[in-house]
Amino acid sequence: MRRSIFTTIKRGIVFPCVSALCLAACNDKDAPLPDNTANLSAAELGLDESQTAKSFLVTLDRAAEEALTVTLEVANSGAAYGAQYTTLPPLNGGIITLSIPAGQTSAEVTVTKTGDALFEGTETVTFSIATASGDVVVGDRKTLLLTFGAIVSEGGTLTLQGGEGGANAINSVFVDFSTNEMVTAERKSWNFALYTGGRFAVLLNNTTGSTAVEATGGETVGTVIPSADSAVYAASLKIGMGAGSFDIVDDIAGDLDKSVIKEGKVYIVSLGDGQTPLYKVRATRKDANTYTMEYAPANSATISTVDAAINADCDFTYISIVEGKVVSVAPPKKKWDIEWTRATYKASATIPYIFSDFVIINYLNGVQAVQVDAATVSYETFAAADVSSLTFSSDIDVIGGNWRSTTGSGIYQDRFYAVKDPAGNVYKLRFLKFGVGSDGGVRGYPEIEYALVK
Amino acid sequence: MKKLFIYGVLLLCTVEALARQAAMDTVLTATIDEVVVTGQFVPQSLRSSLFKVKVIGSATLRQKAAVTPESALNTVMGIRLNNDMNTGETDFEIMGMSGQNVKVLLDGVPLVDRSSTRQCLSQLDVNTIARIEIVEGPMSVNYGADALAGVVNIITKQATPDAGRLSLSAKVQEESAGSEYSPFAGKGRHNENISAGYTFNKGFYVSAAFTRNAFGGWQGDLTGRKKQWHPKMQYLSGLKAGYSGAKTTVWYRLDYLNENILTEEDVNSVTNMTSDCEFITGRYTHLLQGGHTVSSRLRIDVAGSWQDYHRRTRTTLIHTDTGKRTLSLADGAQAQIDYSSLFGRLTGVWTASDVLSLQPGIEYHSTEGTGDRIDGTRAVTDAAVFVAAEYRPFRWLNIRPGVRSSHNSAYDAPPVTPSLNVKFRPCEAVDLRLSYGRGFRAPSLQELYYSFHDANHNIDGNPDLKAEDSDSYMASVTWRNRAAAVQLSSALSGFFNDFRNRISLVESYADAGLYTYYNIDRYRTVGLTLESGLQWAALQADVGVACVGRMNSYYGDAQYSTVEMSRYRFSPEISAGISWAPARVGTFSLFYKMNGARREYTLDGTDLKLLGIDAYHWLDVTLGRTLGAHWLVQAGVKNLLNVTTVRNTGGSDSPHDSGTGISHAGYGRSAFCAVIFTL
Repeated sequence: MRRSIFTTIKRGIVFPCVSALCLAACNDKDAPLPDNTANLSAAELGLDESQTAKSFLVTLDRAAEEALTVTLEVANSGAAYGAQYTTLPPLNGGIITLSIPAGQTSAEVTVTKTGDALFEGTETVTFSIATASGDVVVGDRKTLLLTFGAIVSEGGTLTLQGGEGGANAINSVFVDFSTNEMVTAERKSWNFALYTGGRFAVLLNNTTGSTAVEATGGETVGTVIPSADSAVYAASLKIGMGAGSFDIVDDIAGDLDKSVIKEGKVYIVSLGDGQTPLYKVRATRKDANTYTMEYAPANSATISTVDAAINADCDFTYISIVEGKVVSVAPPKKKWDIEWTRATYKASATIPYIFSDFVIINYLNGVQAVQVDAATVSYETFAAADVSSLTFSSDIDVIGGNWRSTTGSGIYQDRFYAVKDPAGNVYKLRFLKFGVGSDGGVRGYPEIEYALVK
Repeated sequence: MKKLFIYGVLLLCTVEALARQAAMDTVLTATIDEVVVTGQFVPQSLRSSLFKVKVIGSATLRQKAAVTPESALNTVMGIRLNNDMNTGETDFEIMGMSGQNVKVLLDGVPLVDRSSTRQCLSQLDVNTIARIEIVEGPMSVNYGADALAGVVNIITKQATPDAGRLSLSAKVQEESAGSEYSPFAGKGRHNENISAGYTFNKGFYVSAAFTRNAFGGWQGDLTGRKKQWHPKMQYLSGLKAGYSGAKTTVWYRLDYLNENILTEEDVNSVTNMTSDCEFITGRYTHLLQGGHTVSSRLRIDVAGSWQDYHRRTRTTLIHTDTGKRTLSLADGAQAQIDYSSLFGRLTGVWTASDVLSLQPGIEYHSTEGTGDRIDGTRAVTDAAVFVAAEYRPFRWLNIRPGVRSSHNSAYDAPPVTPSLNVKFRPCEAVDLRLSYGRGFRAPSLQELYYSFHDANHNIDGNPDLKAEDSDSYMASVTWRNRAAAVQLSSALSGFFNDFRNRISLVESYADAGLYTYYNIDRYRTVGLTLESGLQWAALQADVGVACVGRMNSYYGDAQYSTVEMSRYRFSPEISAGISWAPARVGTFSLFYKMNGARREYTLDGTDLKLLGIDAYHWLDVTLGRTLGAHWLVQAGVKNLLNVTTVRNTGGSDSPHDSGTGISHAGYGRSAFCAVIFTL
């Protein structure tokens, strides 16, 4: 009697319960990781008369644990390898073999014109991804048409190479829609921007949250600041998360008259992004074409000097006082339309805040933009006829951070942008993914889509 | 019409007394007082207890037809529930104090939780609960840290004492979520339970229970895939084995929970992608308890527990055009949090003489946590010694002093925590209780070892934190008339709590721009409650009124001297419960709660404004009828007043949102029906 009841319990209750539990647990397998795709960095590039070489990347979605090999097939149309151009890595039997080391996400291919080769401007070379080793799958952007002449891009998609760091991505990326090109610059590679437009203006690095205050105790660049005073300066230079005021940063709308550093005065500067120590800095104009920067770490009396000759091709000449030299950051004046970067902006009218994924337009060179409501006209149907009803603006922050929310839903789907570039081309622009919400992207590698409208 | 009437009459079967469930607080056996165990030396009747204990007995649990333990408490005086729409969890507060100020116990053993919300309460199987005992006021001598505002003790069902008996019960309960419902799966609530137990001849018993608790979520006002209330699926299983003898009892219990809370995102029309985020929780609770009566004067009790809690965050991306699913690699899309705890307590009850009993005890509690932005793997160990005495010099006077001494590995635990409870009985009908207690709340693992540094956050824990401590005073007068026909009882009680060294997150003194935790705040709560009960034949009614005041921290602040303010901000509560069970008809129950408006002075920019949550009313109605000896059928409506959102201008404490302006109290009027089989 007892045994049969026990068996009944076992059979009738325990086994179904246990098996139901197992079922519940077993059905619960994780989905596989997304494919790691290999893509070319652009679909179309142009190598015009003024340039001798052009580079593009083969990118992976994420770094792999072992070294990978990617092969590109090359098809010529009117251009001859060797006679007119060479590639690095070299072409071998119609194939370029690239290797991406473990832990890296890209490899570069450079196309260089041969010596004094002449071009008509219509020769093209088509690169296409043929194979990829390991688990890598060939992605959507697998062909690149390189024209040996200037192009005006019809549009395409680009994945901006913000670099590691996620929300704190290490690079700023400048984008030129008409040539499908991106220029990346490490944010910490420069400390000051020297204005090349004929007047004195020295700007702090707004992409690292650099701040400055005028030296209050009569210090010169050679004064050693004791650590107690240094701590007081450090506290007054804090920015972010509610700290700081607009007095310690340059004007976020770009007005050069309201920038912090004035000629000849001594400032205590925080280089931003956690860089230490503080620096004492003094900037003057040696002559119309040269700035002189005197600088020293806060606790040092050794003054270093850099004489920086301005390069009028760009709006600013960038210098690094950490390296003590001029560095290249932004592309030439009319060669970029928007910059995607981490930037100092505002949380409110009185509190500065550092934004990730912030988009600045090249307002100094005639780039204008306007936000378009997707409810009135959708991105797909937006065409030349819709442009006339728009009022373009030259404000630096037209796009700004308005295209996304960094928590929750991510990219706002109810809007896109129309951008007029320095040449007058109008492109429609929207953001596809940037690694927030369910867009499937990676933070620091936003993907944009744009198309020539007019 | 006549046919219907005859049909109805035919349906009337003999009513089996609901007293089968428990000999506790049923309407039909009015002379037996409810037995309580929390904080007592030995199980006592509610009347004799020195503490003011609130009991939600099995009859009430059955009448409320609750599918989760926390929803069983939603009409209890002094308790407010908070539903978090982001995590899908419900936290609760007692007497205005929430989360880490309340300790949740399972058969006297503390349950482990992730961070400061008490989600353990919603992760227990309501079908295994015999009753819930709530003690308001600090129980720190017996139960140590985090029992500042009170203790909620879940008492599980014991085996039937009759040897050779197989007990079997099964339940199916179907509920709608507002107007959303689909049978047995998907929308609405679906709760199925099967339990069995067998008592062997020699006092051994074994029992097992399995429950599926499925909630399909509630869409609410949202469109697309998103739901206002997230779907939740729970599988709960439990096993208990023990021996109950004349002098010795010992039992072991294992509970396992698998819970999955699903958050569905809307489809991104540009990329044709969407995502599902799941919070998958596994919770193992091992409990071992025993007691041995050494002699007529000495009894020893042992309780031990090992608990393992882990919650995994899993985010899956779905391509809506191909149906392909992949794991998301976004920041924080996949995560894991682990907490485990080891607990042991040894107590003795020594009856020194007719007037004096002593209860000494020692306790050991170790908690370890990883994930949840805790810096590495951290463990906190607490060892304590406590002793309480009960001195009864006269029949009408009962004095219970107690003291506890704790030592903690991670923070400064208060070296001595005293308490004093006194009970007078000036006459047969009246009880007067006075109590004073010191309470303390331990800093959580997060407050000690937090590490959150990214582009926009710079927060560290503070390993040098001290415990928060409080002084609590309670006084209550209970009056009962013991007339045979109509029984009335009434209790008036007041409390005052003074909290010190409250832990708050503020900017670091040493490093501007870094935020960390400090013991800096002060807080006070004060309140008055009046609860009355009536029992007359088949009718049982309880009504309560409470007024809870929370300290206004801006009172007396010179900066705001122009604003007319009071020292405390009060909010009222009204609760009522009616149960009418005429023989051979069935049971009709009604539960009502009015949560009064609660507004406090908050800084809005530079102005001091009165912001907070509006009042709302909750009403549940249940009808029940037994059919034959084994079947019980119930039907009813929960949230009859159709409460969904309540306006909340107080906003949130989170710096991320400016406050959504609403609190989610419920998902609308829901109907339910349940069928219960008991062997």
